[in-house]
Formats: sequence, C-alpha cells, structure tokens
Amino acid sequence: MSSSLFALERPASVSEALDALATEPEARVMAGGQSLVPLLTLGLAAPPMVVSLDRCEGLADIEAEPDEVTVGAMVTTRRVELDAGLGARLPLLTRAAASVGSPHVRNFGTLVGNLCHADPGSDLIPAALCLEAELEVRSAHDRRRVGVGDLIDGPFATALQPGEMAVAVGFPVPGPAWRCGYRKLVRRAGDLAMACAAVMARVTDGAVAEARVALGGPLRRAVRVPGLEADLAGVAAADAARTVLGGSWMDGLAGDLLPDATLPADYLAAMLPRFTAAAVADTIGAGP
Amino acid sequence: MTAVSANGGNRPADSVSVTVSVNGRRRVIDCRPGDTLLEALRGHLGLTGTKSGCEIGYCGACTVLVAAAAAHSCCLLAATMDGREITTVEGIGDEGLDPVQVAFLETGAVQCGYCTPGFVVSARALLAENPAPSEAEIRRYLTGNICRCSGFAAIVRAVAAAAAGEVR
Repeated sequence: MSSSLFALERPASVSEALDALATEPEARVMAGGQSLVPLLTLGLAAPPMVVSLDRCEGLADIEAEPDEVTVGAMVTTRRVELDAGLGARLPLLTRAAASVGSPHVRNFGTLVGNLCHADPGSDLIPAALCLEAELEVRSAHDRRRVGVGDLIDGPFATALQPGEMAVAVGFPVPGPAWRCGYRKLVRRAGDLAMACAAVMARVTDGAVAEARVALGGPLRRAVRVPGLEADLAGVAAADAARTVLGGSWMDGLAGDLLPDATLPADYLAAMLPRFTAAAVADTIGAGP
Repeated sequence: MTAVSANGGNRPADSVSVTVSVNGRRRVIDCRPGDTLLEALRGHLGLTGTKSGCEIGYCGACTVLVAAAAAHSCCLLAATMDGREITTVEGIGDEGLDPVQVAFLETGAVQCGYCTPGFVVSARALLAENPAPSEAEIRRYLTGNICRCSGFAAIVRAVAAAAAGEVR
C-alpha cells in the first residue's frame, strides 16, 4: 500500500511544470508513472512533490524532420513500438521499445521517462546510446541539450539538476546504410535486462566500415564500448563475432561492471563476451 | 496551474477529489495524492474483482482497462485519472459473462483464481486490438500477467478459443 504523502502537481503546460519544479528541488517528475509509482509504493522514493505531466500540453508529439526525429516526453513506449515511421527510420529504437516490460507497462511508460529513470537494465538506453540521441532539457530559466551518454551518472542517477526536466529526445536518423540489432538476456519475458546489447553497423564490400555497440544490464550504467567499436572497424563481416571474443575491450568496462550474488564477476567475465558476440553476429552476420 | 494540493504551497494535500467513469458509471473518488488506482477501485469503490498482487507492475493481477489500454492499476495514481474511462473485470461483458470469461470456464483455465480477473481483462484488451491473434501473439501480450499456479497453457488455450468463437 502506498503511504507516501506528497504534493501532486498536474500542470497544464511545460512552463507551469518548470515553475512547479523551481519551487521544490527534491520534486520528482512523473510521465507515465510506471517506474516512479512502484518506487513510491515501495518507499524507495519519498519526494515532497510529484509533478505529473499527464495534463501537460505539447509533450505527446513525434516530430519527423529529414535528419532528426524528436519524441516528446509523454510519448509512450507502446507508441514508439508501433509507429510505422519510427520503425522505418529508427528500427533499433522500435525493436528495443518492443522489449520493454509488458504491453501494460508500454501503454503508459514513456521513452523519455525510461531514459531519465536511468535503470541499468533499461532496454531503451543502449539503443539511444547507439543512436547518439540527445535530450532536450529545460528549466524555468534555461534550456540545453544533453547527450544520453552524458545524462546517466550511475544506477538511477542522472546529470539533470534540480528544477530541470527533459521535455523531448532527439534522434539523428542514421540512414539506410546502417544495420541494427538488439539482444536481451532475461530469466522471464518482460523483466529488466540481465544483459542487453544494441548494435549498429555499416558493412561495405564484406567488411565492417563502422560499428556502434552499447551494453546494459550488469553495469552501473549502460555504456558505449569504444574499445570494441575500434576492434570491429575494418574487420571482415565474417570475422566480426570472433573479433568480439578475441578482444581486450572488456578491460574498458571494469569500472562500470556491477557483479552481485546472482551475476558474479567470473560469470560476467565469461558471459558478456559471448552474449555480445551473439549480438554482433545477429547484426553483422557470421556467428561463431 | 491546477495543483491538486488545495492548501497551497508544497504541503501535501490530504484529499483529492477525482471524477472518473468506472464501468460506464460516473464515480467521484476522494483519495490521497499517493493512492493508486488499484487502491481507489478496491478501497474507495469496493470493486474487489481487481486483485492486489505484487503492487509494483509485475504480476498483472490488478489489470484494468484505461480507455482501451490494458493497465496495471497499481502503477497509476488515482489522482491523475480524472476524466478517464476505466473498465474493471466487473464491467467486462455486455450482458452476463464475456466470451473470454466463458472460455476460461470451459477450458478449465482457472485454478486458484487469483490471477484470473487480470488475465481476463488483459485478454479482452488483446482481442480488441487483435481479434485473431496467433498463439505467439497471445503469449507475448500476456507477458504482463503471472499465474502462480502455472496454468499458462490452459489460459493461452482459453484466449485462443475466445478469439476463435469456440464458446457459447
């Protein structure tokens, strides 16, 4: 049973929402509530104020420009999953969106809310990292753009400051030369990821011209893996999965790995390269 | 700004008044800002067909429809629901039992029964979206519901039977 007492604000506009946030540095922003309401119920969050965006005008749009797609803060994960335009232009995003929780969660949870919740097992953060998405962040007096890689500091921690909120996320459209894939490891369908990998690659003349790989799950935060991306550049597509298994890129993750009782360090050291190799093979081809 | 805190400032309001449509009836709920839709339905309106399970959006026992969308009612604040149309298991079926409910009975898809209302409402949402789902689509859609008796095979058969019109 939820026992938390807080002031609930339901502003009708972004500027009213920002004014409310300016009055209370500990306020939490709520979009679909699918992460925050359970945290309130469990007592893991006890903010003095919740600013719900459910009545807020102007946050539920998907704007498709030639080079960029912008998704508003109240666009649900379900809409992202099913939007045909997004599916054609950002298939990695729609594939990751379809992996989030259950239809129930996706019907209300939002893409921007998922990114800002900064759960290490998020499906959408690795996809957004690969797509080099940028959040549009506003406060009562300022606005800035923050790359998803710079947004997330650690588990459930972001670089958003008191008074700030993300109003949208922009995705540069990668173009048809890019392939993509998303792989997720869970015990039960609908869980947060034990491990997840988003992969994008351009393959020309049978060789990897450029690759992007982001991992999430047993990490303080989902990250791009630049060491692996460098290893993959230039290799024959048929050798891509072997390259993942043979590289030393795992060393670069050491500071972010979060082993625990169920996923101990030796298991992660054995599992992550194989899992990542499988994800790369899905996208680039020629599995081990 | 329409703040729910009627007392101004940042002090929590003790009570919020919300008008919703539940199973076609206009209802006024007086709740606290932190009350979930689940708590409002069961505690304030006495609609106990909606079950309380995990309370964190995992088990689906509390599934209701908000407009046509399946929702975990434990993960929505009642105070944000004003003006919304909510359907609980009590409101499923135009007259008497819904074909999904009949299929659950005829297929033996009920064991202890605790998860059943949630599955019935989820199945109703699925069939409204996709009247002829494949077995894989049924299984994927029911990700948001758990049966702890592990009667999933019969539940999937029941939904398939309801979709195929194989019930009276």
